[in-house]
Amino acid sequence: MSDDDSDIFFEYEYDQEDDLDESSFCFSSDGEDDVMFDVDGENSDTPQTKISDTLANVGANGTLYYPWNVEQFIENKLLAKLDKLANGTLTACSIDELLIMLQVKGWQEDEVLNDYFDNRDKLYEACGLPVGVPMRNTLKKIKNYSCFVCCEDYSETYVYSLTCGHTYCINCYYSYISNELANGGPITCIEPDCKYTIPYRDVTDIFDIVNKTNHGGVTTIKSMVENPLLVANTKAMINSKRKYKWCPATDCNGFAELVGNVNDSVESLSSAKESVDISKVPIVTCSENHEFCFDCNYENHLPCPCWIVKKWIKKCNDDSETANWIDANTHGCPQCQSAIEKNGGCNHMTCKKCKFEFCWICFEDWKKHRNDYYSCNKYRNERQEDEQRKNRSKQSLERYLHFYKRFAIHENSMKGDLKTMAQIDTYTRLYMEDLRDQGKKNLSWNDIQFLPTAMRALQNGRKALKWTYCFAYYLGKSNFATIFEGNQDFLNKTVEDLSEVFEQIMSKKNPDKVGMILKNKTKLRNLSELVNSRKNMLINGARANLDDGLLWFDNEI
Amino acid sequence: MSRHPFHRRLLKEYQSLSQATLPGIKLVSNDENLTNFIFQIRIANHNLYPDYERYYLSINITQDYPVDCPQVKFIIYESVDDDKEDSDSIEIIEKSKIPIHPHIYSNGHICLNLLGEDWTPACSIESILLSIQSMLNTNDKLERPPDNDSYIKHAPLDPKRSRFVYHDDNV
Repeated sequence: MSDDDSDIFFEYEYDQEDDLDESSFCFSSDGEDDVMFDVDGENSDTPQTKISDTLANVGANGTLYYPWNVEQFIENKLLAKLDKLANGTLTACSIDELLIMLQVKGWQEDEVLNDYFDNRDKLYEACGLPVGVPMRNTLKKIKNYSCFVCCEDYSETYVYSLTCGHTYCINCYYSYISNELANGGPITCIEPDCKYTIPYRDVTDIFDIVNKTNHGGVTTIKSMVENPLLVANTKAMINSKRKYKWCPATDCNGFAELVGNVNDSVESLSSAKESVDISKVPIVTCSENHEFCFDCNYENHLPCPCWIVKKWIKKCNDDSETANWIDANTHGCPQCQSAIEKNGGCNHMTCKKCKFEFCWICFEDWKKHRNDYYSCNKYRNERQEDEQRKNRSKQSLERYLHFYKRFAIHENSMKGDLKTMAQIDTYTRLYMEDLRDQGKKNLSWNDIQFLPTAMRALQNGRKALKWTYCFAYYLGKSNFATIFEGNQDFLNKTVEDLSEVFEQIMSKKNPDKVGMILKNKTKLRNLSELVNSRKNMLINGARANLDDGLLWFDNEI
Repeated sequence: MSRHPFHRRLLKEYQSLSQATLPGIKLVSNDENLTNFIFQIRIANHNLYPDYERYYLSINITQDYPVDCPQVKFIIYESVDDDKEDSDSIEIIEKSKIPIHPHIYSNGHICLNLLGEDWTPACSIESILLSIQSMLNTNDKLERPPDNDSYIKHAPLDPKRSRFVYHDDNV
């Protein structure tokens, strides 16, 4: 995993109403996290995210992948191909022509080259480029124009036309292009049956003019990386190919690219349906350092295998809140077990379903109360058989609630931690700016680098901790399960310790927050290392024990 | 209902539709805002579609027209037939049929590329009418689409929400 300045926190929030598929998690990420502690150009020792062309990242389980975001991808992958063609082999073509050809050929530059030298005219025709005539696209301002599409009469407007000369007003072209962008493919002239393709640069120009005149916007599309057509095309490509997966974090436009034979690795994963080999879980990160599982597209869920995660989420969606509420507010009818909520004062209950009359206090047949009114006031030692049966089903629910509550608590704590850390970040940044204004430079990037590292450790530690509760819920009883619980406890304690230090720093009683940070430097560093090593120990231990059959998942649960 | 943002365009299309007489096509009704139309289509000299048979096409203009194509489907229309020469004063109520065609489902949904990916803002109501008429004119198979039964069971009310695969351009 790369270790750079852009720090990540993202939190996950359980969404009960969502379907199981894909969207069971909502993520939200801190908007400012990627510029944390960026002290501008003065400290050149700030590590930069570098996308290497040759070196792939290695995920937590040895998965080879590239972390990307859309801009980096366009810059490094797509535009690099364009450069290669434009400055090397196909210097005769314009940038616009090359981009269209590359897009039509799915960014396979070899195919473009082959087809070009094989039959240039055929390729041009397939790409909707003019053959035999120069490109004559015009975008100009004219007076007294009546557009055929919107039927508006303009005293003055921009109109656009391709080589074919079919002219329409810029507003129509703007809405047409905006609409067609969703398809991600090349966009042709508005005229039906006219196959001329609109070049990238023209899209930029059209969007800029419309944004300026109609929407009063001042933002212009500065670089190729922001070109709407390129962005839409890239997104469509990422969606359609299996080797790319979007980062599941909210508002994150990062994604990961799997290296090597994707079909092999993805199929071996999905075929191993109930595999306990968690060393195969492909954990990758996006360009913002959000860790996620390439297979099931959830956040990093180690030590749980994907199928357990799916099972758990389904269970949580089915049960959790409803079960909680039913448990707290209702009681089953002693005869038919349907849940009953008592909404009046009288304790003489009649089940709506089976018409059974009973007493809310002792859950006995009401008839028994006739003679000896409220016999249930007497304490009886032996529990009813009925109660025992109910207890068993209650026990399984209680067991689930035990794990679910802890799972949910850590999920919420991740959010709380995030808030504290965002505050600390703001304080530190202000402090650093102050120092710089005063011309002092006694604190550099290196001196506070431990802080984002500690924050990351806390988030990842909590995340792992959260998933250990899902893991433990499905775990069969054994001595090793007890050891696992022990390790879980250790991690729990360390994570809470670390979280507490952060809380103390932000505590109202503490006026000198930055001083406190520096004072606790060693403590934070040690604790975050401890969290990391305990987290790894827990996951590695679980993996080894699952492998050796010392830990297993109980299918009955 | 408020005016359509492209009212001028609709007005122009409406004017040309009501003036020009397209053979076999008649505007039956439309609303004030010019967003809902019903057209009657007649196919002449065809051995699959008898001359007396009238088909009714409903065209709904969406809010995003003309960037977005209209919702188009065949409907079963009940009309009081005044063409019959019976001098009896009994009114004959006729129910129209959905034409049988390999690209028209029995619920009236039409699988036509112009109504999907080939739509551009320069197409018009007239071009839809003409291409549906020619689609019927050139047909020589008296059959429904192969997946008709399964499609109509699950089809959304709005045919635009179906994802048709335009597999066959010959019919």
